[in-house]
Amino acid sequence: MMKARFMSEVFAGRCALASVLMSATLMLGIVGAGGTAHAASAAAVSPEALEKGARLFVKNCIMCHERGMDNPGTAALSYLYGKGKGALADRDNLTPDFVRYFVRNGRGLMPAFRTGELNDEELKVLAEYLSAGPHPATPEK
Amino acid sequence: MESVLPPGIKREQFAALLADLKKVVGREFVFTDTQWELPAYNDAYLTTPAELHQPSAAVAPANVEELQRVLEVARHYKAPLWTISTGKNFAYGGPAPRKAGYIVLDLKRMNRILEVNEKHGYAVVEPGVSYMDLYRHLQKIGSKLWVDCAAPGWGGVLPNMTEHGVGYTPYGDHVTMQCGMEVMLADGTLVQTGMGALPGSQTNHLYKYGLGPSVDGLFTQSNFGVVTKVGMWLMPEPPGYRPYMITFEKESDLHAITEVLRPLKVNMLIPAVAMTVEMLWEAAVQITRRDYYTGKGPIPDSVRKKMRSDLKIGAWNFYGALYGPPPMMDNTWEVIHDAFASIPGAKFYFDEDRSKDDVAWQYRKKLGAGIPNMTEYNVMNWIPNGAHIDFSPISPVTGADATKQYELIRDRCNKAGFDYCGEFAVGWRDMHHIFCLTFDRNDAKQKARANKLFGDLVDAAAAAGYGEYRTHVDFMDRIAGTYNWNDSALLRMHEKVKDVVDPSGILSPGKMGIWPKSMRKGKA
Repeated sequence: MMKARFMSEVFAGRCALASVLMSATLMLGIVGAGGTAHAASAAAVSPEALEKGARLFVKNCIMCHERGMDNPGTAALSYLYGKGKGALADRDNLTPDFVRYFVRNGRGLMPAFRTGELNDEELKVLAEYLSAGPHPATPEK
Repeated sequence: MESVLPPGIKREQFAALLADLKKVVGREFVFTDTQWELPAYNDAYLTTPAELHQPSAAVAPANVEELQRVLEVARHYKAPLWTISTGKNFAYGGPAPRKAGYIVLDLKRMNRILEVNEKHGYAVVEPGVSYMDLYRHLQKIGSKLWVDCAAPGWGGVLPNMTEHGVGYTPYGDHVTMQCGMEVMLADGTLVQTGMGALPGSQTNHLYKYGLGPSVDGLFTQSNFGVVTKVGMWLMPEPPGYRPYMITFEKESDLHAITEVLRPLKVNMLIPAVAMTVEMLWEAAVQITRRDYYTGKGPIPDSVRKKMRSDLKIGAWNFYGALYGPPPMMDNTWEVIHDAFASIPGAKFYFDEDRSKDDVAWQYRKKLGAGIPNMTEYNVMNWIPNGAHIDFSPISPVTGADATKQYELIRDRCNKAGFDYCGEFAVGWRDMHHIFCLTFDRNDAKQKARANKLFGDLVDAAAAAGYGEYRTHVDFMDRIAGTYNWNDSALLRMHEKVKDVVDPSGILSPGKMGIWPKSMRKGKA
């Protein structure tokens, strides 16, 4: 029920940033786009984990989420949050639960990622990496 | 989401089946969690209820030995498996099984690039290798071979070929470029096709046919086996690459464009898959509908005109490329230019003539050189919560057919309240018309309308003599039913083969309309 409510709010179409933030915050205790709290600061994540997370980001995400409107994920989030706010690597307000939820359930044009292609352990590392953002330097492809 | 069972299997049997699968691949590679694991094994772009395609479980073997034992378990319980490789066949069903309750056989973990042969120009890959994986690998080893990729670069090298997919370089017909195949039959037998059947063969990936019947095609768009390895020919980097774009002013120019194109393709002056793209596709990869129009129904012509002016695109936009030494490209260009210049209003562009911010041009330029990217997915950003299914009939390369097809789809599309977004891809003597039917995935009424439109298009195209080259899981039976010459002789032959090679009926029942005897209508 909780999930259904969250889904319906998030996927309501033309959903305002505020409603995404509100629903995400209320339902999962996390901070969505535009917030300021960090769930995992870069300092709290080991350099090894950050490096591994960056590799996973490049392998699984960057094709759609690299900076630039030619990347459909970045474009979709820019349309939602505003120009220049669409690149995941620039976000300073992602949390592991937030990342996990959308990776496993998808959102808008983004299909969910299967456990068979990105396992839970890898997802954990990826989520920690993104939550430790922003990452101004683009990871090497 | 409630859990479901495989058809014909009771709950206690299912528990035993899962336990046996876990013994084969390990607990961590059998997926049954309905909240966190199985949603990703459904199709994000369905026009039908998700329950119709909800799997009961998924299993991911790491190698052919595990796969062999997975098939043994499936045979024992007579459990239907639905094979996926990279699972990115979106617009055609993604990883979703044909029916609810199937167990998805996920081959993504079998993702080794087994060989890159620089001298002869080929690679041998397993099912889980994506275009981007192969591209990055070739870059890493300093290879001078090109990938030929589908527009969504996260797609799989092997599964795109087995689905008869195409790319955008001279190696764009992927089935033609496949040479050497390894297949596991439902009984666990591993088969090498063609020259691979000869122990110690030196030409497994150089000569396609071996001795006797050439069977590779039996394992494409089929459920007769599980393809575990293929050789794919790769194009050597040419001495020169010069992509070009030609814009045309009038909607009715499609006829003339196609007539000019045919001899250029048949005579191989345009070696790559040639794309004639309607303006809205060009617009949708770089702007949104609401930037220009917030009314309901298809966007009006006046708005289309404004978009064309702003984006410097034509009503139709032709993409091609020159490959080879510069003098050869110069000569070829003269012929191509003169041919298309016969169409009034044609404008010609090379890279230096298009903006670096021209998203449409930039991704087409990459595709022509086999550089994987995902830009084309931007078409779904055209509307909020956009999703799409593709309707893709084949026709002869004539102006009359192109126009007839375009009008057939455009008129029905507009009547149903959708924007026409399409392109024509000419391979050699065939033309794929790709209609990208974009809809709001959160709008149930719109999804139902899209589903009905798609079905109407299948019937209208078939009545006009056009068949689809590939389709979504929801329409496999319907489209297979249009290939019904001589009392459906071809389908009946497929069924005979199915009954022999997969008597337990465990492999992808219903794939492209081919059902095992136990699940066939009337149970023949």
